[in-house]
Amino acid sequence: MNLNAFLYLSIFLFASGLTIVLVKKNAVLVLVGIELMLNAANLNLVAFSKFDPKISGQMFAIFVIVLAAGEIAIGLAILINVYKNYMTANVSEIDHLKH
Amino acid sequence: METSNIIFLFLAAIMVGAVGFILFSTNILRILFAFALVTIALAGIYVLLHAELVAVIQLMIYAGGIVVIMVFGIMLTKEISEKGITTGTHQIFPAILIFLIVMFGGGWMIYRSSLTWHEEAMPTNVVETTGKLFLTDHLLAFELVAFLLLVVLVGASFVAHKSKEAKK
Repeated sequence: MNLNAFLYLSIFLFASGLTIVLVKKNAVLVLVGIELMLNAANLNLVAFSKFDPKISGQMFAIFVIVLAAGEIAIGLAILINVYKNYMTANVSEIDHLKH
Repeated sequence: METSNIIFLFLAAIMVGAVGFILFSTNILRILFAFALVTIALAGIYVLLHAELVAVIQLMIYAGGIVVIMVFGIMLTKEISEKGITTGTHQIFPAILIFLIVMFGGGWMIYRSSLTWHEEAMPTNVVETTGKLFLTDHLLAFELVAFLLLVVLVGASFVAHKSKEAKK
């Protein structure tokens, strides 16, 4: 098993996450797509640091996971606010800034 | 064929299937369970890469925390009494185009590159090494992340709380 197998899996995860962000109408599923993209980056970092004695990639991956958790908490708090104002979580209906 | 190859293919197949389900399904709760499956399979792949601590953290934070928070987000922003919790799709054709560009562009770059592992001796105890590195080489980042988590805690409760008062 070589490095490229992990990189191919990672690019698939990233492309799928990007597609989910673009395609899905519900805001929570947009957050799911962002998480998939962060997971793809994590997979790359961990795969590159497999034989690194200082495991820098793994340390980075841990920090990225923590940031993802923070991001999801803030994102859902904002989403609940948006839902209270617009009574919808559909990203294509929240277009008051569009003229 | 080595055992680790079989395990990798098995986990990758689970992951690709679950991601495909996320892409094509419209039932939000099932999509969230498929996302949990993706994160669990990814934790297995981290174990294959000798990253046990990252795998455990992945299981705890993603499968245990983030998916639950997302289910709460769905429950708070959808009427449960609605007939099925579903979602629609939009911008399908640009998204397919971008998917193909990213997938095959990135895949081509990986195919053309000649990246390999430079095999060196790994530390025998990854968890111990991680703990030592947190308090030596990565101390500043560690402290900054701790402070950021505090800011997130206060900020998220503030953002979620303020609207309630504004509504009254």
